[in-house]
Amino acid sequence: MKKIERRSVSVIILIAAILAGLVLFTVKYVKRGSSWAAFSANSSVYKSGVLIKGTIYDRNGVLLSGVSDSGRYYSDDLDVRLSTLHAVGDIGGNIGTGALSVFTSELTGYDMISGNYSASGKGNSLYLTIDAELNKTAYNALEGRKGTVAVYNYETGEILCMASSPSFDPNEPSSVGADDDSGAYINRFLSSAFTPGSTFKTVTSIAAIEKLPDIYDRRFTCGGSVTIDGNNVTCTHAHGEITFEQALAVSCNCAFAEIAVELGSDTLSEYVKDLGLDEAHSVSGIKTAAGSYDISEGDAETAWSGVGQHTDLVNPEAMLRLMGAIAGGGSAAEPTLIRDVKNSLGISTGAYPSTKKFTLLNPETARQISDMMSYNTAYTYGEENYPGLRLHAKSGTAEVGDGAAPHAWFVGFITNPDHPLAFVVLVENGGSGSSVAGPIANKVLQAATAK
Amino acid sequence: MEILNSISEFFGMTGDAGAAYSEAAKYVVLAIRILLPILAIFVLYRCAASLFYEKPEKEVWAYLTLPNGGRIELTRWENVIGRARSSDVALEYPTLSRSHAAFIRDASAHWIVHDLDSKGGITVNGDRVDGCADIENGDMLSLAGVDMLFLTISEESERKQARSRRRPGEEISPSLTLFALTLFQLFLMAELVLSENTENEIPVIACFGGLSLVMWLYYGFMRVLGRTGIEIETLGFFLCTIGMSVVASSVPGSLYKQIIIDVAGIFVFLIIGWLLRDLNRAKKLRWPIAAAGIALLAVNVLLAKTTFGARNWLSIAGISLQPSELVKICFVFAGSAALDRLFAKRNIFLFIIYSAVCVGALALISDFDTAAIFFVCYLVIAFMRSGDFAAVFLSVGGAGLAGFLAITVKPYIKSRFATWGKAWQYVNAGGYQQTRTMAALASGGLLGVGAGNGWLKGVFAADTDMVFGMVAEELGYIIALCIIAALILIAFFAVRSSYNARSSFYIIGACAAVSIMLAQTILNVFGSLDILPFTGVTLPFVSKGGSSMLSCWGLLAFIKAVDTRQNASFAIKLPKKYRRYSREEEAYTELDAWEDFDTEAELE
Repeated sequence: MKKIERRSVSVIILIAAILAGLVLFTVKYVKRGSSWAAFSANSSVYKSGVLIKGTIYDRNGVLLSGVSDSGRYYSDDLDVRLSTLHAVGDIGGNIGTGALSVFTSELTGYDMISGNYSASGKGNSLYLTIDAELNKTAYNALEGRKGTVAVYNYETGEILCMASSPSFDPNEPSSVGADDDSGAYINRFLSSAFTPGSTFKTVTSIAAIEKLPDIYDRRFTCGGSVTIDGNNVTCTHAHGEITFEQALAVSCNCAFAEIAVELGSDTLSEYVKDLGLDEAHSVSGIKTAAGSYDISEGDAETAWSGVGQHTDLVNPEAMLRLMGAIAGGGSAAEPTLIRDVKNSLGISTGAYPSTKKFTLLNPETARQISDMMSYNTAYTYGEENYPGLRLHAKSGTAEVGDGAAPHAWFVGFITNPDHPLAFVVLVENGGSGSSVAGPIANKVLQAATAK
Repeated sequence: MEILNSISEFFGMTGDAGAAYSEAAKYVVLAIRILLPILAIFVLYRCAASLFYEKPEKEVWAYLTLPNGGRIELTRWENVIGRARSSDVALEYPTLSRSHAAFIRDASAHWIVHDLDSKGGITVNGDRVDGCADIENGDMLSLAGVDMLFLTISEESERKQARSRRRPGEEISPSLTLFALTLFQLFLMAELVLSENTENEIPVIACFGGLSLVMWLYYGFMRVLGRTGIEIETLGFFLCTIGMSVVASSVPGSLYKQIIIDVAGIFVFLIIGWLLRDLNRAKKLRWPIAAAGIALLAVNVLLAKTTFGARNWLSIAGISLQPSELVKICFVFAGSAALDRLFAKRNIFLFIIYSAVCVGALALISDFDTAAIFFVCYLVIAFMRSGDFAAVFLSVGGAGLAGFLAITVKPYIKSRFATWGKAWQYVNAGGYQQTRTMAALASGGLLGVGAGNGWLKGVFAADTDMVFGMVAEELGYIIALCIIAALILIAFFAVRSSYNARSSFYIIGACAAVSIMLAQTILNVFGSLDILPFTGVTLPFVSKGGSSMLSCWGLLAFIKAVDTRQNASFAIKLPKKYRRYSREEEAYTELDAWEDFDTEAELE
């Protein structure tokens, strides 16, 4: 009998198997429960694949998308619909980074304890950090050209403007064909990477400031082109003898090619990495596209990469972070998209906005590159073109080859104490950075500071 | 909602007032959502506390008095005596064999001594024992020269012993537990009635009310029988309550059928418990019941028609039946064996053949899920009967090979394995059910969206194969976990009771029965959650299904039969005239009882 009763442990093995399985599952559940609940087959919150819980507002309470008995609807204003589409998301769920796709928990009010249960049956109110009016201004300033405009407060991290073009009217999703290759579903700010062109010279400059102690005392002689390793690096015209600051201000390729070669590819790679340009970031949980910086061999490649050409790719969000860090004396707040979430009773969850700091530079380097970017405005872009902004900027005209017009970049920040804003403007195949992207930046920043 | 509307009309509420009423209903549901898990945990806690409150107390059935004056208690109906420490009575005499003799009592207090192939042999009153011999009170035995006097306890001292033992329910009142469970049922019913998806409230109210009534009637019946240990049944009722909620939500039209099945289940439980009550009767019934199992499977193989991939349904006069569910009870019966049978080696081979036939028949009708459950049960029984790991591993190897063949031959099984662990990559193919189960489970959170308010019920087989997800969605993950906790409590109690059981027949029966329930739980719950390949197995007591419900209650009876706590189980006989006696002498203290017991004059 004793023997047999002891053999009843075989049942204990089965009990242990159940407990082990439950622990395993519960861990999975805690980790992934919110994404399971966001599965489109979850009829508590989805009807025919469309999220039927949650209302989306901009930072000022302007309605961007809501739910009625007949389903999800968008703003009455076509321009608001077009300019906030990529932030809000489309009904078909094609814009994977839209709030409807990524902030489902915030919209449905999902949490571990209550699941998707909502006493009112309507879900939560989600207030994005973006300003619908500013988005409209930015989107209209792009005038139908492909590109992106983003503005964020580097002290709080709130993204005030995030427009991507081309866009489409979410009320007429069929306007984008199945064979669409314009990239209307892509939020260019978060999910794309582009040749940075001369905006990359800020990176080369940061490396030079820290690695070449006499850089400010040097004089560069630009004859319009320089031969490195048998390869010609050219400028638009001969800049003559110039200082380091002037080289950045006039965006002299010859000077920066020399600096890049002197720094070497390893040092540049290290800086790209340290400045977060080759990695993906998280914006309120949305993973951004990573950039790339890759030099396999030769000084010619190093020279071209140092002026933002070669195979360099930079994601606009990563560039915006860098601008924020320069403006903030080396560190800034992580960009975020959620300003507030209120439940159906109007009570805020209190978790937003969440301000998290990151550091990219030491304060002295940040001050020096900031001064140089301010000098750019004074020397090249013209303060009168950016009245009252206290603009620090760098333009970029990125050659993309194949006879296409270059990408126009304009990146930087303003040091207005009431409006600590960093910005990125990119117009694909737009032409000259300072003359195409610059005025767009001015228009958006003037609108942002007028508030 | 109809009832609510008619109530509001009755009070002359129109328009806004009616709306206010339904607004109030929302807050009622809000409160019920929180109350239900609290009540569920409270019920489980009380059952657990009552089951495990104190260590099991031993029962004494006979004594062996040694020459040195030492007195050994025989606390089982089956006692092995020998030098080995694993013996029930371990004696340090060098002449004894490791397992020397077995003293076995049957239900009618008739004792037999078995010689377990000992070297020194046994004599009874000087006569050499060949194999086994009857023994009686006062017989003089000699085990390899070690003399001992065999004394049984009288009916009178048996009664005194029974009086002195602690009875369940004294510390933790079963009526309060049942009251909490009734509240749970009431709130669940209210939630279903308030749900906008419930169109007809009458069956809901009738069936939940009926279940409560059945529960209290059962309790009253047990009180009349003098039994107070009803924790196991309370857990069964708790699980049935959740099963009722599942039916009310997914197929309200089957509610009346469900209450009938619940009642039928109780009757199956009582009948099997009654059969097990008398060990002699139970042992005699083994053969016919085992044969009935084979017959049921044979009929199934011959006549069953194909439904849902496996031919496991049988329709008789409009009632569809799953014979394999009922065969589970037969299988447990066939596998259980008292100690005297375990001495004969050939018995294990007979059982292996019997198992092979059952599993083979199930494979023949393509019911591989049930075959897997039988196999787990077989492993537990085989191990308990032989204690031989090698044999068990060999069986596992053989079954692994057979399973491999099944996978290669049957494409639908192969596809289940192909998508196993990757459900989210095949959301509309092999992972269809699992992803929906997980989405619904997550959607319910810890507290659920409310009974009747879920969406998973609209997915095919939600109330059977995916019932864990359905309960988690509607009643919350906490209550879903309570289901498993209840089943584990039952299993754990079966193991714990083994240490005090009268016969190995009951130990093996109880462990085999819970192994079936646990195996089903594992396959059902983890299959639907993509931890294991998806199967079509039911969750005990909770999944919709008549045959399954009957077999679960039948298996539960085996757990009642192993519970030897005083006055706990109706499946354990009390000493004759004990109940009348105990009522007359309420003042009898425990100490007095034991003193009387010790100075028993029967020793001469």
